[in-house]
Amino acid sequence: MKDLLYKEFRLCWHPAMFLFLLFGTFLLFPSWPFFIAFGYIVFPVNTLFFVDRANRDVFFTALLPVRKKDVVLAKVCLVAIIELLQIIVAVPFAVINNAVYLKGNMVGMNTNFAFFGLVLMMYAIFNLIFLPGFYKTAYKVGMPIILAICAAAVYVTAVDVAVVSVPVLRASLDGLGSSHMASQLPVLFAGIILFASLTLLAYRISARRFERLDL
Amino acid sequence: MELLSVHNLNKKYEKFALKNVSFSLEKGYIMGFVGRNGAGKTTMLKTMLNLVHADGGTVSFLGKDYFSDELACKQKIGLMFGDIFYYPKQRLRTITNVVKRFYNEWDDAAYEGYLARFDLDPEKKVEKLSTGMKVKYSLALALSHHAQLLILDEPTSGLDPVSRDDMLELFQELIEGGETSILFSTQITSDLEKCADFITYIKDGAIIASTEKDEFLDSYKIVKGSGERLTNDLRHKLIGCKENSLGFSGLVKTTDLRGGTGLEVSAADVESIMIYYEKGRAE
Repeated sequence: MKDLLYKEFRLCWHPAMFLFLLFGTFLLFPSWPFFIAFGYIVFPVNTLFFVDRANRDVFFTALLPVRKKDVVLAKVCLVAIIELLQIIVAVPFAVINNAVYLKGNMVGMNTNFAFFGLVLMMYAIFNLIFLPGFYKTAYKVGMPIILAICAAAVYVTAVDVAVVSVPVLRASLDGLGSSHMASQLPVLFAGIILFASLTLLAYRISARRFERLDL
Repeated sequence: MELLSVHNLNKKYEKFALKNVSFSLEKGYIMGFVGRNGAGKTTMLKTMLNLVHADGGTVSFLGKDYFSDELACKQKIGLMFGDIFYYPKQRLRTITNVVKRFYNEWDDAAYEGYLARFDLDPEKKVEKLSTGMKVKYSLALALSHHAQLLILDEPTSGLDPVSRDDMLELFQELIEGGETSILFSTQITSDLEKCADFITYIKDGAIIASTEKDEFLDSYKIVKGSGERLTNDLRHKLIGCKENSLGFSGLVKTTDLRGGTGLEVSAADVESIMIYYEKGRAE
């Protein structure tokens, strides 16, 4: 498995991925629907799978003495790593934003603990729709990625509107500072658990579909 | 010793089927796999390697069931699929550094030796290699993990005649030790005459013949004669036939030839066997 991950980073990781990670800097905007910055996950994932297709990566890997499900696992891990890196890059900019703009976000949810939990849930939805969709054919990228990003967009719009406009949610999830940790940390943990479990489910469905494919 | 044995392999598609494909290959020989475009050569190789799921049949490699022991078998098999080349923007060194990790018996010294012998620069990008060099790079990778069987899908297509001849000579060198065998598919019949020990001929997904090359060639004859000699009985025996105003020529199984036919009989080569088989009988 570690050899397959090595392969992912040496042969599949595109230099543009570093650039895409910089979407995290968008959290420096004074006021913005910050979920959008994480919706841009579509760019690195899209690039990864289209470049793979141009490189005939699926067929190359299938010829190696590896299990097909491990091939899928390595790719799912790479997608998850890109998502987590995007969050890691974004966190310092969220901290700076909150320190500089004391009024908080005027047009959407504040970037607090709950926000990052909800971002993880968005990634979970994206992974669950995109990965099994792609591994139906191990070739078609476009439609699965459109469906996944549409579902993620519907989810974040609903979440952002709800948190800002429903008073009880606003009180418990939109606050800034350590005094709100009690209500926000459970959302962060729920996000972590959902991200891990739905990505694992996405892997299992994808692996089963890839196993059945004729290459 | 038997290295590879394929038995009754079947795969059905909507408009094409592999039908009970069976053949075997011993250690230290070259088998040429021939058939026209769309005959099922690549499908056959992919099905044998479980890249395409067989509907039925078995494949054994070094006495092991390939389908249940795929990873161990792949450690001993070198693969190359025709014009498919991977990661054109990557350097050979980068690809090799990845590939070597997957093989237990990877031999760096052997790899360096093949690079030098094939005149391959590890700093070159795949896209900068000529077709022949790409094939040689694939061979260098396969040979450096001490593959006992090289399965090469159309390795000579796209090569100029000189490079093709070099490649065929190389194939013969590779099997000299008696441990390595090569199974390669081609549409170029002269490749088979130059270097194959065995020929497997596939037509419409079914194996027409899989046998030692000389036996294959000896089992068919070309017959020629004037039009009136083409009796119904003879027409029935012809596998393929061409007629014109001067007479006819056709392919017949040697066993169907009787003495004193009054026909001109000559030896058949792989190309004419294939052409007559594919064209069939003129009615």
